[in-house]
Amino acid sequence: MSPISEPEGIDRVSRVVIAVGIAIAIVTTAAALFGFIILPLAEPNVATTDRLIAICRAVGLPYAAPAARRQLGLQAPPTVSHVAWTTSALATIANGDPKNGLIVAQQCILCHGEHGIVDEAQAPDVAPAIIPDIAQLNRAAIFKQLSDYRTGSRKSDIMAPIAESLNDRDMVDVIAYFAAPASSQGSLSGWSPSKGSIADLVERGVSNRGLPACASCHAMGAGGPIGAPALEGQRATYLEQQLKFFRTGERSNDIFGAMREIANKLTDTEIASVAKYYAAMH
Amino acid sequence: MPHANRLILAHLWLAFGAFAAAAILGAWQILVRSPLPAPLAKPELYFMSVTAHGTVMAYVVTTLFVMGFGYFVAETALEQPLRGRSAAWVGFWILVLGLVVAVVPIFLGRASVLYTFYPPLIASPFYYGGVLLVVAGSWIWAGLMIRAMAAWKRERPGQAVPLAMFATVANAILWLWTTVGVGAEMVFQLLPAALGWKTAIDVGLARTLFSWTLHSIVYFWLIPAYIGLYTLLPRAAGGRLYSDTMARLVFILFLIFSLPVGMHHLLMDPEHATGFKFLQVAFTAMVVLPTLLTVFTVSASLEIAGRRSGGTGVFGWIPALPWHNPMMLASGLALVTLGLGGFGGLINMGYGMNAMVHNTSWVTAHFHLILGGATLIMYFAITYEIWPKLTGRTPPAPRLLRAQLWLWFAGIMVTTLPWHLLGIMGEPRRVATFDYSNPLIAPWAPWAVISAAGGAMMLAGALFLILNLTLMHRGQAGIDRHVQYAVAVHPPGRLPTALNGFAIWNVIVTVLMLVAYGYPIWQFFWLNAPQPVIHQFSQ
Repeated sequence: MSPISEPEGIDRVSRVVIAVGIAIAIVTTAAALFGFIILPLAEPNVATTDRLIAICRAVGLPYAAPAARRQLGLQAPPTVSHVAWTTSALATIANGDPKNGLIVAQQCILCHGEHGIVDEAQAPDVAPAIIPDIAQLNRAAIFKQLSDYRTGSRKSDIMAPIAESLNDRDMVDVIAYFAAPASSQGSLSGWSPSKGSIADLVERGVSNRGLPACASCHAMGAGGPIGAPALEGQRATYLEQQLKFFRTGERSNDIFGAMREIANKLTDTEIASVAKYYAAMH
Repeated sequence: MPHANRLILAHLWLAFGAFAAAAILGAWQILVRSPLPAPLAKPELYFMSVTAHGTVMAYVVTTLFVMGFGYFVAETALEQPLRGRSAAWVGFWILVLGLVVAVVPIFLGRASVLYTFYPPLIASPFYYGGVLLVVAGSWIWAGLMIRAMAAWKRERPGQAVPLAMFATVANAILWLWTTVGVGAEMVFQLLPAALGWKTAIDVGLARTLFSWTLHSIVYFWLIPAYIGLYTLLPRAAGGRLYSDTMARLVFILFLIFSLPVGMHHLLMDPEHATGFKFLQVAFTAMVVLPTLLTVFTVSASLEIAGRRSGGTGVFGWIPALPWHNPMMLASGLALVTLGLGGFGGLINMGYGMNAMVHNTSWVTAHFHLILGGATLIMYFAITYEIWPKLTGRTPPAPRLLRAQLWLWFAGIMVTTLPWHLLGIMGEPRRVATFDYSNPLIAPWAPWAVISAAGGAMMLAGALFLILNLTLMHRGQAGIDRHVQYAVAVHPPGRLPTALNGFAIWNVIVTVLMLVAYGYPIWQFFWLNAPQPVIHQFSQ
């Protein structure tokens, strides 16, 4: 096993190095060509028929960029959320005083029911169908929504003034009043999983449309990112309306625009079916 | 022969001590998630524990091992004492300080942000400061490695830098590149917000900067394992390295293709356009090149060894290999876990398939196979190989070392294979406890119990390692401390500059990083995307 002669060896190796450089350049060019031009034009689901816009979207240029979509309106977009999850914030949310919460809750009960379950017979007749149940919601999720109503990140003519009247202490206490006892969370005695495309979407996601499973963030007992709500048993009419709000951008307090992105990919039928699927879970 | 024994042993002992402690947390966490009864099973304690486990395993254990092994290689491959040993000690103590400063707030419950600390999760500023100190300490190491190679080359113009040192410096350079992302995220986003100097964090930008670090850091962990496969294994197997040139090319390709690829962690993030996601996924796929080159070169080196020991036929050389040797055994086990973890990674990397597994235990299984499997198994084997050179004492019986390797390997397999299944069944990650009475969750229970058993095996494997290391100090003194690395079939004579240094490759990395990350980062400043603001409690 003798070493090969040196000049010959160096020449051969230099050729390898140059080849590597050229290969990298080819890969980069080909990947850019596919990613920025060929695939955007070939993509059947692109919402626009304009080729230039399709390419600009793939590059992320302003008027078509995902990050810019929220800026199309004349007004500056609202801040997506003012809530940061520090450990002290989470500890405070976990330790509200339900007695004070009962006092604060008097203004909630009329619409959301005495125990956080909407009673349509009692609720005001403005729009009882779109009032959510809050009994099964996790504490961090309620806190985030109340805070977002207060800061204007989530819009509602009814909820905004109520949230503005609450300080942090009131919010935490009222959450403690409505929060379900831990033992009853996520217990679904009268429900069994079904099969079909909506069950697939909820439990497993749809890979060829880049749709993650709903349950990966909204699992039983609120698995997933802090602040993501538990959805089991939620009212179908409310869920359907909110998904549509996300789709139009009317609701935009989802960090990273995750829900707007997902809702954009769902059809009306799917939205209605997902809402019914979750509503049946109790 | 190593000279800075105390320095190297300090790094390795602290690494493995921290490793054993973090392994205890890991075994408890997996119990909490299972239907089995676990002591202190509260979500807040779980997230505290996960943060400590991840921070220590990913940032501290690996970095300390890489540094300690790097100092060892610098002295033994270059065959000269390390220059700047006091600077190395300063780096070590900065790292120790960082470890303490980061871990104390975690256990005070002020930093339950997991080791990815994605905003809007916000920790105590001490946590971020501590992690930054760990990085600062490791930068001193990176500087010393680069200086050692440069000085060696100056004194021996035209000579090829020994492969082990060349690869170590590749890793040092990779580490400097890698830490820029997370460093910028901490200095410009997280720390000012945690200190209350700034009220806004751009979560999209923060995640993007973190993604810069998140893939290349894995190659920083893996490169010592590859150094073991290329420079220690062929000799332990009784053969030669098939190609020194191929090995250098592999380390260069790892440097290049582990950096402009981090956006495959952001496939579910709507902040970025699909074109850049595609580009970075295409670069990610390029990592297959150095990986397959490695499989080829290592297999060829082992075939040389197997045939020298009398193996014949197409596969006859495989049983002829010295499987009783811990380095040989560990390499086989590590390649099994690397293969499984790698195939799992291909699925995470696919845009559509990623949507199915992104937030599930599948991902946890993948990175445990890579870090806990391939990387750590090779760390153990390298440790068993170099420790006697550091202490000058005879190692304990090889069967003890083999038993530890097998136990750990079995533990990682029994833990992660059920996690893959659970991930496909939809079990989310980053969740403390599950209601197993729920009809959707009930089918997970048996797999969760099996994986908890795997966790217990891994804990036993970690404690077994500490026992073996203790025995390493008890052997008879006076053994040969000379270190020999594997000789190549064609030992390198003169090499072209490009295979004996990194200047040209740094230029290529710069260009690729500009292409892959330039616009995606710039858009956050240009488009002025909406920003979540730190919430201050008014109580």
